[in-house]
Amino acid sequence: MKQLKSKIRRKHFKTFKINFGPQHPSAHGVLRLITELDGETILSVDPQIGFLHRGTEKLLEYKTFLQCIPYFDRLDYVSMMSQEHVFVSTIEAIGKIQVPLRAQFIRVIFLEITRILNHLMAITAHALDVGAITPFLWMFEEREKLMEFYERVSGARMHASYIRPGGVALDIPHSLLDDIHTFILQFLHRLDELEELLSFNRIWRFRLTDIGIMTKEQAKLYGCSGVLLRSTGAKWDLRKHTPYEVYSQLDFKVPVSRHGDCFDRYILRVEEMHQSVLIIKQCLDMLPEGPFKTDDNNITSPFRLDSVRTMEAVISHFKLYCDGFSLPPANLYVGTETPKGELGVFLVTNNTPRPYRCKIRSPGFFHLQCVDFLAQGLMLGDLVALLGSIDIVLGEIDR
Amino acid sequence: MASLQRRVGPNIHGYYGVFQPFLDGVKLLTKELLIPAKANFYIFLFSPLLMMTLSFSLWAIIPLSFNFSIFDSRFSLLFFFILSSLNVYNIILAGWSSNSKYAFLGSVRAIAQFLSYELIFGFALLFMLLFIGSLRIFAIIYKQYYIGFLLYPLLPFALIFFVVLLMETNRAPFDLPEAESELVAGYNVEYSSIMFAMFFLGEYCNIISMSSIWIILFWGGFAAHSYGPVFFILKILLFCFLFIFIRSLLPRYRLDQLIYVGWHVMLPVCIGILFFLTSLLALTQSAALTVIATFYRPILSWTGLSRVPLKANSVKFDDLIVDTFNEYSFSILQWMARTNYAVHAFSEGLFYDLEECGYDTQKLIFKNYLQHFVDTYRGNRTGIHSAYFGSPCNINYPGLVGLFQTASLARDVEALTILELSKLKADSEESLLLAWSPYWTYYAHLNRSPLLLNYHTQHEAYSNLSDIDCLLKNTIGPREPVSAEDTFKKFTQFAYYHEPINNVSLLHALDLQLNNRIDFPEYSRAVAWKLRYKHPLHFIYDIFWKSGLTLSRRSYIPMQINHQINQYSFIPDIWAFIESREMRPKPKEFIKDNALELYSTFPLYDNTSSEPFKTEN
Repeated sequence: MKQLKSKIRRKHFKTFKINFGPQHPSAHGVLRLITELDGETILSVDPQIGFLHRGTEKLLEYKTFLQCIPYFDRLDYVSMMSQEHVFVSTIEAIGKIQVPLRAQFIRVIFLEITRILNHLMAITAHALDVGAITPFLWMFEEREKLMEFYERVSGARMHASYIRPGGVALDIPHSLLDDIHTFILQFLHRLDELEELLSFNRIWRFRLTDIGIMTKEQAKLYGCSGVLLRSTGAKWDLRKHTPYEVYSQLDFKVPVSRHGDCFDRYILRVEEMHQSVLIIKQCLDMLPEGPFKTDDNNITSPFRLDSVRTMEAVISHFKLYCDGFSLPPANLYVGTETPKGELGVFLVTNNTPRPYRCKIRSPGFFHLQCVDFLAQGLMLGDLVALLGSIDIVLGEIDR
Repeated sequence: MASLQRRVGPNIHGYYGVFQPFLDGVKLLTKELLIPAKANFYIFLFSPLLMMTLSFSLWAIIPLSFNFSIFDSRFSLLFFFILSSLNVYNIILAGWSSNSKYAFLGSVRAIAQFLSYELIFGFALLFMLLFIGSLRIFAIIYKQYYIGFLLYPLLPFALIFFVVLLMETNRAPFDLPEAESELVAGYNVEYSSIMFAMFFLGEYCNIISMSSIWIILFWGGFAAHSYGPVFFILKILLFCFLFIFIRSLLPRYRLDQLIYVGWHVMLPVCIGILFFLTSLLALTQSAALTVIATFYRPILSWTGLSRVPLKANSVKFDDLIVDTFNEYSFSILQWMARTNYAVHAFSEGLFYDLEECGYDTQKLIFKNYLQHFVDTYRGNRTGIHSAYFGSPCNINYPGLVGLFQTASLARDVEALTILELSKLKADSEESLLLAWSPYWTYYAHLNRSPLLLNYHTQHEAYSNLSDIDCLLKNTIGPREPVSAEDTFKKFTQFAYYHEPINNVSLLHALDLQLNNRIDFPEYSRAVAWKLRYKHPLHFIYDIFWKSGLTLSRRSYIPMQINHQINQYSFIPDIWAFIESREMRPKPKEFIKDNALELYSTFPLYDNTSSEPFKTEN
């Protein structure tokens, strides 16, 4: 009997390890989470990355600065222009290039459009993971409109490579401004519809509240930024703290919440979209006339008319696209507030037209670290909700 | 769903893509069937088959009209309950046999989900028992045919039942076993090709059958406020749309939240409603507290009960709950139905001959009939009331209800009214007019009342007047017990000698045999032979009979008779009562004793004729 008892005592239940990904429908790409489960409760999560590693940082060292820009589009493929903007601002900071005011406004308009694009994707994909299908499809219609704006301004729906050193690639068509205006007016209604489906949905709140609570200390410790950091109560937004472009002239608020759970992150994203709409509205009103890129033909390609008329223009055009422009030796870090958080570029230049080293600080990488301690003790269904609220894109994490 | 989500659905093949599902099916059929190496081969193949079988067999109990039902018994709802509970097994088996972690998790979830909704589901049936008094599908539909949709009186409960159906069919927001974003595809993750198609088909089949059950329970099926099967199907489609609407609207519950909702929210609410209603009834039973009942009037109106035209102090709610043990008690709902029918009958001029004779029918309704019922519901359970209801404890004294087996809500009323009128005018000539006795005997036979049959076999040539007398005798005075053996013998004889109701009686003999009430194979075979070439559909009966399958009496009864039988065959009958009192003869002895005897008496059993069972000798 004693033996039997000790046998029973010795017998313990094995935990259960599952491979969450890389082919999992809600792994947001090719993330692999080795998840240890006790029943449905998560004991530990071990994120494995690198399935989408393309060696971007090394590739950049062999490309001219202008050729580098499209690579940034492809890092985080749901917030394209924000990525290229960081890189371009780094170049501009090193080369001390002046950007005309009109270009700055155009940039801000499209940065905020990008923010809306990203948040729509984040929220609705999150909702899809939690089980609500409809918001995803509804909001994809809005995303489609925004993509069309991308196309009309740059010629490409997604990978625009529109923001260039010294300005933007092309001037914004006047009719597009009208259309953006009509879009933002109706978009607020669409946002309300989204909130009707989600914010006021009991099940949605039931699923999200108090899931994956993060404290301010944890968030700072793990290098979180963006919505993740602000959901814990930290007031930190680079648009306010180190204003770039024309953000200092604009009137907008940065939403902050205290609980740090999934619902907070969701509601912050919704509110940020409202603020983005306000910013776009202001930019449309304040958009000045003037050049959309610098006169410096070493950095920007000359106007088409000039290149036909003058020999110098032809030469500089040829030089720009064959050799590229070189930047003085420097190492500089520039970070901006992308939709996902602080995206930074640490650029080392050595008077050549190519970067000596380009280190990209992607916010998703830091956020993904938190999954382990956030998910401990949650259920398997919560892990999906948590991943969705963290809003990761493997393109920028793996680089 | 596509239009809900502002997108274009699959609309290429056929108009609005009507062929899309078929093409999907063909695509799945032509795909390769993959079976994982580590899977348990037989269980892996068996579980989708089980899924299909169960979900299709659920269809059997769903009637499309009073004339058409594949399977019907007094326990149809119980049958539904059992089959739908078995449905969880194929998920468990599929998940377990796939030998995949995600599938396994899916099946574990299915078990947890199953446990949390099954109890609520049981309460569903309890409610049905309370309010309908029967688990027979036809009873539920017929009840609603008279009192309208049960949706309104049972609204909170209908909603709960709807949620349970969502859980049952694993649809959003309770689609945990196959949660796409969590468990990839859940229990069917390893399935491909035709096996996956079977799961898919079974699931959708389940949805349709479940929604039809809901519609039968709460939305009148094909009978109430609707015109036959077409309306029924429309309602089902509407309900299926609701399933899809909810799927596109709501996110998914987490597992523990689902269990929480099941055990902590829905179950207490279910019990709460049950206790609330029963305690309300218990309260109002005492006369001193009937005043309180008037304060509950708003609630009662909400539950649909106050549709009973009652005076405040005459409310007796104790009869609201039909207990399943006492066949002679009635719910207020039933009473309403009766009253309504009486009014209807009078107003439609069913008693036009009364009017021809100078009676004021309106006056008769209110003075003699309604007033009488109001009196009885005030507590006066004597006189005609007891004649009508009989004595609940004494089988020898069944009363009119016992005689007719409460066959129809309608016929009872007629019988009672006629009885009442004939008593009033017993010596006048009009009583003859009132006695529609062939009609009565017809129904008496339909419902296999042994008492009335006994009478008829004694007086083969019956007159209208003697029929009335007999009724009065049988119902009001206590009489000798009639043995079932005797009754049956005479019943069968009677069936042969009375041409107008011949077929019906024959069929009932057959029916008795098929339902194993009385085992009497020779006779039923004779009947079968006789019927064989009378109706084009009889080959169906042949098939069932030869294969030994006796699915339901409805599968072989000719249509024109069937209609009338179906309407009245759901009421708990005296045979069940006799069975419960162990008065039923033991079948084997019965065959031995009586088969030969009857064999000789029937002219059909002529050895010279060319009957097929001749060869059996």
